[in-house]
Amino acid sequence: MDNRQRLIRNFCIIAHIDHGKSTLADRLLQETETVADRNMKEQMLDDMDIERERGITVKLTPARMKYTLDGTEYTLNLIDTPGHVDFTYEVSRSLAACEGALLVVDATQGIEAQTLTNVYLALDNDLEILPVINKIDLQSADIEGTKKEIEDIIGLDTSRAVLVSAKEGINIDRLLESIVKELPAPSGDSEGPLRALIFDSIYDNFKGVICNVRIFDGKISAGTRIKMMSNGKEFECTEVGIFNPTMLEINELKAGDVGYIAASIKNVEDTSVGDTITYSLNGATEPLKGYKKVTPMVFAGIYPADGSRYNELREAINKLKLNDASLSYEPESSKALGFGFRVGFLGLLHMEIVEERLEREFDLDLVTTAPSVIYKVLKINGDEVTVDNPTKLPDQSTIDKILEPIVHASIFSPPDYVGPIMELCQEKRGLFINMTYLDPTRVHIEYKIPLSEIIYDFFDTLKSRTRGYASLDYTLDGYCPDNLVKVDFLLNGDACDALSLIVHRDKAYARARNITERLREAIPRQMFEIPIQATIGSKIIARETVKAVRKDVLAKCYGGDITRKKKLLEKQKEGKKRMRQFGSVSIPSDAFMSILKINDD
Amino acid sequence: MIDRGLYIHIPFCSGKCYYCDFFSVAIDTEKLDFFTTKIISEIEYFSSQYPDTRISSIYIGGGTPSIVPFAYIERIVKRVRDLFIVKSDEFTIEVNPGEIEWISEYSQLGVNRISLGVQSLDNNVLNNCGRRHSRDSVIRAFEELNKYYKNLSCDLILGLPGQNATTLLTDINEVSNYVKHISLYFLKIGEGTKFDELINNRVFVLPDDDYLVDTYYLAKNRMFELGFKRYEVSNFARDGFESKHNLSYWRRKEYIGVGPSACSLLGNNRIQISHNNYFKNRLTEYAIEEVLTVEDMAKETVILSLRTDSGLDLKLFENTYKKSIYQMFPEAMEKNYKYFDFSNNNILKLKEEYFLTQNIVFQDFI
Repeated sequence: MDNRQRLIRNFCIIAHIDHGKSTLADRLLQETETVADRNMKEQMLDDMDIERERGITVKLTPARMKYTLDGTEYTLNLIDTPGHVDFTYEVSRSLAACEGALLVVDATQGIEAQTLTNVYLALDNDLEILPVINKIDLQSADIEGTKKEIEDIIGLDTSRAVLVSAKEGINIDRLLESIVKELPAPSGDSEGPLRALIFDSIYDNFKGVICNVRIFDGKISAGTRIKMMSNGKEFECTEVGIFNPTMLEINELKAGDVGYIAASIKNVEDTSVGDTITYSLNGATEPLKGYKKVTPMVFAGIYPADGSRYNELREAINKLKLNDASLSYEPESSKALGFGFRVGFLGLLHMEIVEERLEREFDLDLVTTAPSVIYKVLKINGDEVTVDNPTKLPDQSTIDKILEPIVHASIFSPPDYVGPIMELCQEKRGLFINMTYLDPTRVHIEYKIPLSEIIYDFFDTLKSRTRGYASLDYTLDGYCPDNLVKVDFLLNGDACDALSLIVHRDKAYARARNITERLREAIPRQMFEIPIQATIGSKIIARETVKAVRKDVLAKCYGGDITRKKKLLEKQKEGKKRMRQFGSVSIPSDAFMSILKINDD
Repeated sequence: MIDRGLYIHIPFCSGKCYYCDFFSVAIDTEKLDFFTTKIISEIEYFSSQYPDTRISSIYIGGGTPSIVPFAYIERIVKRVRDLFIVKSDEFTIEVNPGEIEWISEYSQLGVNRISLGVQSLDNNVLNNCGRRHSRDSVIRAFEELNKYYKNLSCDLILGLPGQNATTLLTDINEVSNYVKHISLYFLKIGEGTKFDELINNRVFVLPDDDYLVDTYYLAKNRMFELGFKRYEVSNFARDGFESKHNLSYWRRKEYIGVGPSACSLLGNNRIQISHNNYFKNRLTEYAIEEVLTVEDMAKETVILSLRTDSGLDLKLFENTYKKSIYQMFPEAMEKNYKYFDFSNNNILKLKEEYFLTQNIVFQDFI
């Protein structure tokens, strides 16, 4: 460790959602005068509209701060991270770029499901963890209880814990001091061959791909010839800089620094998050430990509402992938929806965020099919196939068994809600594992539950049945066979592939009824009657009918009405363009959306 | 000489009915003078631009022309007769049942047809839609009009709050004693109308389409029994009493329209007089002119003809546009063939069961 490195601290903040992470980050930026008060907005680092609107952090965001302690100026690199379970991958990437982590726990809530997940991640990455107890200004804050929980459940020494109120700005100076004193400085050889870990990237129309990096060894400046270690692609670095918190060009990045690199990289595929950048000549031989490739758990088809915008959708997903390395996708086509993509997500929130980002940042209208998990199908002939799209399920007669992914679900809740939680888990085909009282106010319940049940309104129901008090986390825990069937939907006799789903036989009837009813409501009346049928194989399990339209006529059409009438018909015709022609039936794109909304079951 | 219809829009009303989304203004002397002068200047404009015109029918609509003192109407019609050759076998004026002060005088101008805005004969229904007349005043108006005119028409609305099939059929029975022609319109809720507000506030609930269509056919059958045949979506007449003026719209004959919000079709020009900027001097400053392509005209011919019971004359279409309808609209014809009645090979019509869903077919021709 050289002298320069002694003055750097790279750290992130980990916490359960809503424990005040982003607010704390704001205070740190203010206290260190990184952002002038007049430029300060709430959730400074959450620069996506979605993040501010929802009050959540989706993306990791870096920021560099200057802090002087005892006459010495330190550089603090903060990487803000998301709290939700779906974005664990983002968290793990930030962790790899840091030496330390602030573990923020809300003194009024105590430890929650994601607190634990994030702590384990930090420990896996050998980070020094500094406990920070937040919201101490609130009446209901239980500082001693929270400390005890941290010691009992996580096993962290809380004697160095910093008590703060991010909202009120209490003890932020103490926290900064502890960051310098308690968290380790980076090490690494500035004179050695370059090794820079790409932990994130974005696309800039002028500069090409911009890689956010942590420099582990060596140094880099504009003009340096660099190489991507995974694919050997070479570039000349055009700009390096830091996050101030907006991008600020500087001369050089050296071992221990967090910053960004631009190198006129036009091709999005040439960089991948987790890759190591080194010198073209005399580069490093061993790349840095990258990230575990994340496995998406939830899959859905994403289609442009207007079929002719497929190419725009492809461009958009390509660019988004750059900024969301956990996204996986491949083209697929549907009889009902035309050309689109089967996209893998880390969870439902992730899916929602991706949809929203595609729609907002790329101005697209999308149709998304019902989310599905990956099933494993054992065929009678001994073959095993994986199915991420219900329409790809092999013929029932060739199937021996269908296995579905199971998760280990971990629920934290006040004891009052144990009854409703267990009831919900039973309804969701859960298998009880364990229940432990952490203290008189908190119980930890563990279940094995099929993932397909988790993604079908589990979280919302859990929240509503526990009045928002329960928190949930889950990890994938193998595959189990069950009595699963594929339900197809026929419109006017033609199977609508985009609606097919795989479901437990006991639930098939209720789901089928629900969806056929929704279809009846969502499909506009047409010139003829449309039967809607749900089937398992050749057996019809639910049926509804969309009656034929009776009236679509202009009562008056005299001289002055003709132009208006033409406009009206043109408008109706425009509306039709947004419809999917399915056999003889036209279905508005938003009909698919309304069918997939499951909250008002 | 080219035969053209003439429509004169009189924008005055004593109040706004709840369903009305026409342009109308309250009546006062200053405005009467202003609009009369404007309308006359428009008549002068068209007579100078289209001197080859022979007026084949006149229709004075509104608004409520019958609340305008006769002298103003007289001035306008006189000017028409001064400037144009008028060979009108049909000269209609709209009259409101409560406002019949000058009905006998109209005949002096050559008016030979009266369209009475009845809407309903049920006082409750009339009240619900803001009409300012009663059942008694309608009957009185009919009795009075009968003294001067042989050719009476009336408007009825289907779907008004408080109405049901029985009241509508009773209304039809009664008006059939007086009229040769009935226009039966589906209630349309225009944006910004009083009804729009009342429905949004759930004061009234709109009847559903099944009720409306079933009632329409009950009414159509009843009118047929009484000797009225449908000749257009909303128009029914005893033999020989179809409105010539209105038929000219659906047959895409040429017409001149004067007055705020009136419209003219002259060759391939459609001239829409806008009531915005109506104070400006030159018609060209406040009218919107649309130049129609051959394709536009062909589309209009299809959708207007198919509104009528006589349907689309395929030979005439081909002679006019030099292409058959199949050559002009191959996709639309293929897609919609099952909705057409091909029993007469010179005439294209919609099958009756698809007649009231015609917009869905028309979309493919637009």
